Amino acid sequence: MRITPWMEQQQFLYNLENINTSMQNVQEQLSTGKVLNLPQDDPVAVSQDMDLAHEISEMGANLSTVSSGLSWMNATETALQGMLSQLQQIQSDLVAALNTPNQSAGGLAGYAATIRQLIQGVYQIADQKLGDRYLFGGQAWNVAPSSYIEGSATMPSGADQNVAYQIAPGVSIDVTVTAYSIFESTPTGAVNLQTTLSNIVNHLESGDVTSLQGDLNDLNLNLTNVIDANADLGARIQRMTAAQNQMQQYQTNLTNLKGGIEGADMAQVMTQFSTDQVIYEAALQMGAQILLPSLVNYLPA
Amino acid sequence: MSLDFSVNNNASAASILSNLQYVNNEINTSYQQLSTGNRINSAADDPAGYAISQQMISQVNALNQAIQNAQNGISMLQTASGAMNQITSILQTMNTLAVEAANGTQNSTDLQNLNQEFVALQNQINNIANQTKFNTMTLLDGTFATSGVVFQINTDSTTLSQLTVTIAAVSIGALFSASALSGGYLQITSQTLAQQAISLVQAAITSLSAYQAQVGAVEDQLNYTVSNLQNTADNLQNAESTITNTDMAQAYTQFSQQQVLQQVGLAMLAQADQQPDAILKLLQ
Repeated sequence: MRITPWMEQQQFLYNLENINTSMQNVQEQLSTGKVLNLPQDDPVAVSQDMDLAHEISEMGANLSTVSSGLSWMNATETALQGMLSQLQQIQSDLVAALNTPNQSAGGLAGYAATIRQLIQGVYQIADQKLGDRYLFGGQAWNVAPSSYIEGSATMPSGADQNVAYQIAPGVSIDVTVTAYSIFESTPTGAVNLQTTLSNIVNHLESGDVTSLQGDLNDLNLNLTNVIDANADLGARIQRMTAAQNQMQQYQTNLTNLKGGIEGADMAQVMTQFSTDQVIYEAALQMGAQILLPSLVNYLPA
Repeated sequence: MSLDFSVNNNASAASILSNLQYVNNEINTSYQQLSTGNRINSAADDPAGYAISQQMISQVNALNQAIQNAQNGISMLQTASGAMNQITSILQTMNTLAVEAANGTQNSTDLQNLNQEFVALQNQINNIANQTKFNTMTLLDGTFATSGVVFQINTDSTTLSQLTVTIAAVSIGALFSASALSGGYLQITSQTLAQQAISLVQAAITSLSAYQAQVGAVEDQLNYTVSNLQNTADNLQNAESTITNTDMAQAYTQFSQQQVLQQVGLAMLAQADQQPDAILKLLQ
């Protein structure tokens, strides 16, 4: 086959362009740090990568739901503990008031005044807010619970329903404890807490000692009820915390997986780059040295 | 998964960070457990243990109040029995006077004088009966003769948690039958009356002794109640402590271990964060 200078030039240009393309590719990977820059780089990997990105962002949204649920539950838990210690104080005072040596007129009035204040404290805690929402309002979060528990207002719809947060598709956890379940639910063998509290004050003020004995029984049963409500809430907090840990780990794993798919192995890419650079320089040198001489060089001047 | 030299995602740093966050949470828990001395600081720490310990706290609080109640009861009964002692000794003096008056050697002036003292002593008995008060409540005038004093000596409202004692009225009107009295008092203005008075006063001393025995018996029972309640309260308090308290030695050992992990984690994270930089050396 006869090789003409033109053919040599064409072949040289073709090779130079190939090296340029390869260098352009490597340079793109170097400057973005990614192997997947366009869908055509690797269609299957790009589709996997997009799936992972979708999953990671969904997990992020779930995590933010979980953390807002946890802050709500922790606030509720603290409030319930406060309520509980007030109720325990009422119980002690009631046991004292049942003792005849303490039952002088002044003594009973003193216990009535003390317990009335403690009850006010209990209802004040029931009206505690987080942001602009009532902690114990259930789904009727904008109505003060004491207005329909202690006061005579009609109970708004949803006040007896817990608010549930969806922390994963199809998985919901109740994050509230309703004032309704604390004050209006009736334990077996007793009247509800709201009635019990108002009975105690009434009976102390009227000096009705016999009825006070029944009130102590009611209060003990309701106290158990409140303790159980708080323990139940604590168990839900544990579940939520476990979900949070697990989801955080999962998110880290997903991010690592995504990084593994789309990230460029920089050591490899840089080695490639150096190699390409040498080839490119060699090609240019070759072009300059070998392609220059032609017949014209040998024509007499 | 093999880890490449990637610059967009630092997988080793991400794992270290995740571990570090976990250790940090643990340290936070340890801080709380060590600084409060309690293993259970909220219901979320151990819901079942929390429920048990809260029930125990309620019971201990109420038991402590019951102890106070029983002690108040003892004071009340001591007040009552002290007053009854006084009345008994007055009755004994009255007995002496009646015996003296029943002797035929007294003339009418003597009898008048003896009677004057006899009546004055009865007046004093009435005084004691109506003025002996505990926390503004009159004890010996019959207020508690039928319904009795109720001591709340436990945490619930069953009859076992309550101790009832009746305190009889001890005024002259209650100690002696109305037919024996004239002008509200027993008189020894004659030898016959004095002879009757001897047996009446002795009968009154006997019934007063019975009342005192009744009050004393309950007082004794209350003393045992107090020590039993104290025992129960102490035991419950201890039980509650074992549930909620931190095992300090164990917690501190864990805390030290977590501290080491945290420091190592931080050092490793600093190293891992520099890993992507290393690749840049290839460009030089």
